[in-house]
Amino acid sequence: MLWENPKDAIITLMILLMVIGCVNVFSASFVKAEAMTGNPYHFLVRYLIYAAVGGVVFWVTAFHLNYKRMMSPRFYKVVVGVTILLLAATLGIGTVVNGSRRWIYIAGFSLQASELAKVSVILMAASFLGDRLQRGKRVSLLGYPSNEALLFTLAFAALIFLQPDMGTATIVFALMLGMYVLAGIPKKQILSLGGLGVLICALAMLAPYRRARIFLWLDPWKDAQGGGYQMTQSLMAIGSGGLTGLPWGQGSSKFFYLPEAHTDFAFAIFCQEWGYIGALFLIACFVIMAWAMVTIAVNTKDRRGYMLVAGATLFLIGQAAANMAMVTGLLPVIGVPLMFISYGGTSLIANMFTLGLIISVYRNESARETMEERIAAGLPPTEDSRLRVVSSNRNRRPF
Amino acid sequence: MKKIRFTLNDSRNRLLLLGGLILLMFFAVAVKLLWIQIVSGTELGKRATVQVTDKIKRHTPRGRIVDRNGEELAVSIMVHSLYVNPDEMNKSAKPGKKETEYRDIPRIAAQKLAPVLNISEKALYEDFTLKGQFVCVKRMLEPRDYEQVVKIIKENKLPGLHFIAESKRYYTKKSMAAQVLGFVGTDDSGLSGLELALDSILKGAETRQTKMVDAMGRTIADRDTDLEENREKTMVATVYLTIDSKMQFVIEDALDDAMKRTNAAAAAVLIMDPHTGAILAMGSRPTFDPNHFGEYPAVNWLNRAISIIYEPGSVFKPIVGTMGLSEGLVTPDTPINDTGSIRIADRVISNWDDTGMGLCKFEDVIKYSINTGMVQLGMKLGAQKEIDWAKKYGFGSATGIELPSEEDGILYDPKNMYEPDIATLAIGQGIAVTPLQELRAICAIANGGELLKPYIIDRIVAPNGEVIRKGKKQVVRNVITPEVAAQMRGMMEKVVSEGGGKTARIKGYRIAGKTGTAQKIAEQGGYAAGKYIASFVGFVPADKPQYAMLVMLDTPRGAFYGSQVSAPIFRDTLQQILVAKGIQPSSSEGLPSFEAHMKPGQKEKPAKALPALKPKGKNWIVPDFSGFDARAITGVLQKGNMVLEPYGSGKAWKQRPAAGTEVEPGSKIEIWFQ
Repeated sequence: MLWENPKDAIITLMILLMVIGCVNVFSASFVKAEAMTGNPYHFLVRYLIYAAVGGVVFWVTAFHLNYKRMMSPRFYKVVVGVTILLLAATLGIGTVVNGSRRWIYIAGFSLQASELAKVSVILMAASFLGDRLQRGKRVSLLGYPSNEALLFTLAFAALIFLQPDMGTATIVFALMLGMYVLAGIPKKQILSLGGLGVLICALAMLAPYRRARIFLWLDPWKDAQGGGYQMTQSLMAIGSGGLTGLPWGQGSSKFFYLPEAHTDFAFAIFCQEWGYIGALFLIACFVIMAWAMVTIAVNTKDRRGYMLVAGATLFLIGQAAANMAMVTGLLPVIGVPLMFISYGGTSLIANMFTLGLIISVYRNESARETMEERIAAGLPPTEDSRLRVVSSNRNRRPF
Repeated sequence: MKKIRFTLNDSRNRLLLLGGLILLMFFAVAVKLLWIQIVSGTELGKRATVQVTDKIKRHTPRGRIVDRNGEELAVSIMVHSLYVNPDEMNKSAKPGKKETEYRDIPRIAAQKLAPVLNISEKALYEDFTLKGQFVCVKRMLEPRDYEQVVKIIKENKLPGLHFIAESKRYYTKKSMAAQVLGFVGTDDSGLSGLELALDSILKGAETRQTKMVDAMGRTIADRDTDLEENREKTMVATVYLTIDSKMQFVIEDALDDAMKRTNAAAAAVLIMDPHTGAILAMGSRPTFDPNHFGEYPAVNWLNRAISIIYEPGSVFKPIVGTMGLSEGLVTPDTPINDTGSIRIADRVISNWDDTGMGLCKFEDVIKYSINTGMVQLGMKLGAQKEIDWAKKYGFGSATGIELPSEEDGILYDPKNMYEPDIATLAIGQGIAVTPLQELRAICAIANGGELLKPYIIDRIVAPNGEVIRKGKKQVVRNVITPEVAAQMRGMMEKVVSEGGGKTARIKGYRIAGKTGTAQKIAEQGGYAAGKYIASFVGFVPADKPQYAMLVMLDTPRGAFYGSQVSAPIFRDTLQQILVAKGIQPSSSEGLPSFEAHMKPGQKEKPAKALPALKPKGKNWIVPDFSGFDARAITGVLQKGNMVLEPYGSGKAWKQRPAAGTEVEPGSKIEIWFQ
């Protein structure tokens, strides 16, 4: 086996995905990079810089910070404050690209606050909802002040919505709702949410232009030069890959045919150049990673740690699945990046930070288990501990 | 709110459920990918390939057409057509992150290019702001304009403007031999004349190139070759015509002159080598400039030497005469009684002047073009023989020359001929021929009886020098015996020297010929009142023919007899050609030849150095020719492609333009001799 525990599996897969990401981002971006900046390696170099920064963030988070210190209500309030500040700043001083303000440019590097908002949501939910779960309090979507986390998330979503970036706003809000579901909202509320979702969709269908967009999603070839352009280009890119793919770098879609070829639609370029076999391999990577994360989650006894890992899993793996579904036309086009495969600095660092948190939780839990085992065996809790267990109540179970 | 305790285990179950949903989504993606990549992968891949593939056709220049001496008549050079890729131009016009100043590129491009392209700024701006990737701005720029446009694009860094190389045809001698050469349409396809007939040979090699382009239509593979076309061009075959451009020039000039003088509706002139069937010159009026063929009515494109049919009239008499001689019905000395008019069934056929000559010899019938005499011969021949002989002479079917749209002509079916038809055929009525058919039949008389297949392509030479096709003499059949031919040549010589064709006489040369004046057939049948076709056929020298020539004028105004309008053209033209070609006069009578002037007392004259043309730029300075004979002067003038128009004979004494004048190549120099 390549790894002995879920932690090693996650680290191995993370490095593997980043290597694949580098290779694919370069192939997908060198044409655009050369046209824009004259340097075909422009995006590759940036990817590597972000990866280096992300690596430091990951290493510190995973091995030198205790996640529990981020779980205090005070800490998450700081996080919420910073996030709202950055989102507001984006609306104020962000650069307009394609009609919306999503990035703040600082010294030639870009910051996408909405990606940070996703991480904030996970931290906030883990802290707030984990605490609830710990205390055995039933959570509900209704009522105040028991739902500050939900309100803060609404604030995030509203600020992101104003950029405008409806896709990310929806994702941020949906992520929080998912955390609520995990934290134990009643089934009735879940069903109501489902019903509400259907109702909103139905209402949205009343507007003819939205209805047209839905039909276009179902059959993009009807308007391959207009609204269905990106989707048909994506399908052509993927389809031309066949079973084994075109030689690396030889796919034609990156020559300005496929919009967002190195970002949201990087998976299409990957499928074009690595074929069905490559795509299945990539899917397998994500599924194994999901398995490792879920394994860590279900073995975590600390409620906040559990919520943190579970939320991170929903966030990272859910986004990956959503991106693939979007690129292949199973979902309408919403701007979701594919972890490590899509180019995006903030997203890359945020993902690595999130993975770092998972590792941190895992390490804490392993330490606790070791300690419990030592105590059970009548050993000091740690090797260097001077304490001796005088008695232990074996019947007392933590939960 | 906390009716039931929600445990960590419950939450784990929900997590596993959500995880299961995500797993299901991955599975759905895997299935969808199977569909996209494996099931419809080929189809989608094809679509992807189609959109990046741009097929372009490239032409190498069309093959040259040159005269028998290699003088260029039609050449092609590669010129550049300007097109715009509006997507590319407008995409670049948007302000980028780095570009601080905004440039309205379509506006700038329109402003700068409008004066060079001679297109309004507004129209250009509209082209530049269209949606799409290929809008043709101007086709086939002249090389000078092209250079200017390239300069403007480079200086102003204008994106989206590109060139395609296209082959453009130039007819270097403008309207000369226009109907023979024909012309070429926009896509290098021959539409008329030899350009049409030899299209497959002349057509520039078309290389189909596929290249990959990006979404804005820019080439992916070779981005730098947009402005410069460095591709190796393979030359295609060169077609050498039997046409002699000097003779052609002379007849074109004569035709222009004749059209002006006679106000004829149309005209045709043909010169043929009677021994080989090679066409040496072929002209038709009205004419056009093939460089701008579209500016002329389509009727001007018609090659009247082969594509119209007419009743030959009296020029047909020598041919009928040889029938009689061959059948043994007459000899040159056979006595014929000319009564001025003759009645055949219900028709009375008269001589042109209604007067009879009484008893005369058959040769006088040809010499004076006596209709009654010919009618008598025709009646003796009868319908069957007349038509059989006409067919033998090649009438009624196309000659098979390499030119397109040749007419067959019309012959009676002998079974349907009434007596008057038999009678009038003998005087060249009731038969429709093309000028080329008529001249070819006369050539058979000139060369001793061989009916030849006329040809106009001397040779076709591949780029490597290999001769692909060689035009050569082809004898269709022997029509008459050399003896009969010689008898008829004698009679035709007398036509010019003593008879009705005196106006074709060139002093010193033995000329055989025949005039003809036929009433024009009206479109609705019958004869058109007051409309005549005046023609002259002949060859020179009569005893050893080198050139056979036909002149046909359709509906000349004023004087309309062949002897009045067509024969002088024959004379003027051939005189120049004979002098230019150095054909020796047969006799020195009245016209001293070069040798005849070499009298002992004048020996110092040739010692005088031959004057030479002095070049001045592209033009030439004419020297003083006085004291030299036509032959020497012709040699000098040839250097500058000039044409001598001689008056009189002997030594030059007067010239126009005067000595020291600057003239263009190809000019006409008039010199008076005595």
